[in-house]
Amino acid sequence: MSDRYEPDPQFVDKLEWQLASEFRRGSRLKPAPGRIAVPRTVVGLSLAAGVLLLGVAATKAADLIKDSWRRKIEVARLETEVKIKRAFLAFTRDAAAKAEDRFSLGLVDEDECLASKRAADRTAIEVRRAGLDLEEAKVSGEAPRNELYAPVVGGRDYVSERLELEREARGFDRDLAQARENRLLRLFELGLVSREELGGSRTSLASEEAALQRIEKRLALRKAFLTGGLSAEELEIQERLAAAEINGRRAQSGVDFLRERLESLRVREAAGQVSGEDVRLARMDLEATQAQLDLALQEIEILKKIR
Amino acid sequence: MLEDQWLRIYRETIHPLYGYMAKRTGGNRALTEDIVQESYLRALDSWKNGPPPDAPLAWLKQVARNVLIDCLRRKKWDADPGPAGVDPRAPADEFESLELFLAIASLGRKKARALEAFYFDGLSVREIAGEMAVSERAVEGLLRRARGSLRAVLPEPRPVGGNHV
Repeated sequence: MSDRYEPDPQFVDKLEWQLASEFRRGSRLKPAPGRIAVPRTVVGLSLAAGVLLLGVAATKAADLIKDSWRRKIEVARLETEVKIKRAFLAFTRDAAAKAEDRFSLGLVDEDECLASKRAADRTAIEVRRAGLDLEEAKVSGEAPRNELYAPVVGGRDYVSERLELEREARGFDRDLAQARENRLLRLFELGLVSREELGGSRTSLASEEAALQRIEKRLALRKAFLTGGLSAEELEIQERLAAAEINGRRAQSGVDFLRERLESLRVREAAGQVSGEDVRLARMDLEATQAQLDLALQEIEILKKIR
Repeated sequence: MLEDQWLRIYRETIHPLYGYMAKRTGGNRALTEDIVQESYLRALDSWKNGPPPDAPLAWLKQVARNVLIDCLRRKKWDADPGPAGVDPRAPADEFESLELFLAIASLGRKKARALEAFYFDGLSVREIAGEMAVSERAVEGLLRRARGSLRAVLPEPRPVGGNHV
């Protein structure tokens, strides 16, 4: 039974959101009655300056707790993470170089060579991200925050910087998927791969593009939040709506592909080329993806009503 | 005032402020939440252009108390409607708490402070003496006079809905 003299945790969280949002709204310059209205460009520049000043002030506040044990532990943890990732980067770069040698000798295919290079690129981005987290912890004195409504720290928007790194990483994945699709298309035209295999690579590419779109949307929402265009609550709703819409498109693409695949398998089953088990598994995949699509559509409907 | 500072003050004061107000509303959650929310918004409006007060919780409690008094006094007080924000079918202790609070609020500042500390916050005479920087004997005398004044202002007992089933 809840204590009637203790606040409901949801109320506490919601009120904190509201108050943080009200604080930020209040930070925007508004002319007091009787004073000269400030042009929008000046307001914009002043807002940016205010954000920087807040960041500088936040840095000074963090200086006051620079000896705290919590900060020391967090910084030590992140320093270790950077060291580990740097060591792993050296390893993946070495593996990528070996894969390239073996590809030039015809011992591995292009896919494997590209995948090794990709792994090295991704690890390089993880090292940069770990470095970013460490810088933030040194300034803020706390664990890095990744919520879109997290404050700017020391005048720097670490959340957006991390999103930009993620975009870069996803860009590599998308390029890899695109390269694979191009190669499979050439092989399909030569009759060396099936339509199904080509369709699978198209779905993977669509998935990578959807992931990139989601990051772009998050960057736009973050920018809108920092300029006071969205409250923290509106931000979360928009973020969830964008994610649901992207998941929905991804699931739709999957459903279309799996439906085609199921039809193709049914024809092949009738000709005795595949077993009933293959058809059954394909039907289960389709049903699971359809369920994901239904869920995404439901979430979109609910969020649009709340918005 | 910085945003981090503002949110730190919020996190440090929300539980004690809520408890302070809930004791006065008899645990009426909706009313308590409204009062608490209003108090913080007023604090933000007052503090945003300068440093917050040295004792933000004391400031917030005072504001919350005043908000509740204003809220209760604005509503007509007759046999039918209950106190502001309270369904007359609400549990008897909520109704009585608010009635009692409003009556106490109409007394002088010292008497009201002593009675609230004793009945709502559950402080001992010694603790109240420490807070008010007076002797325990002075607090006992103050409570005695305050109860006498309270008896004169409390309304006649009337039937209430009690717990709504």
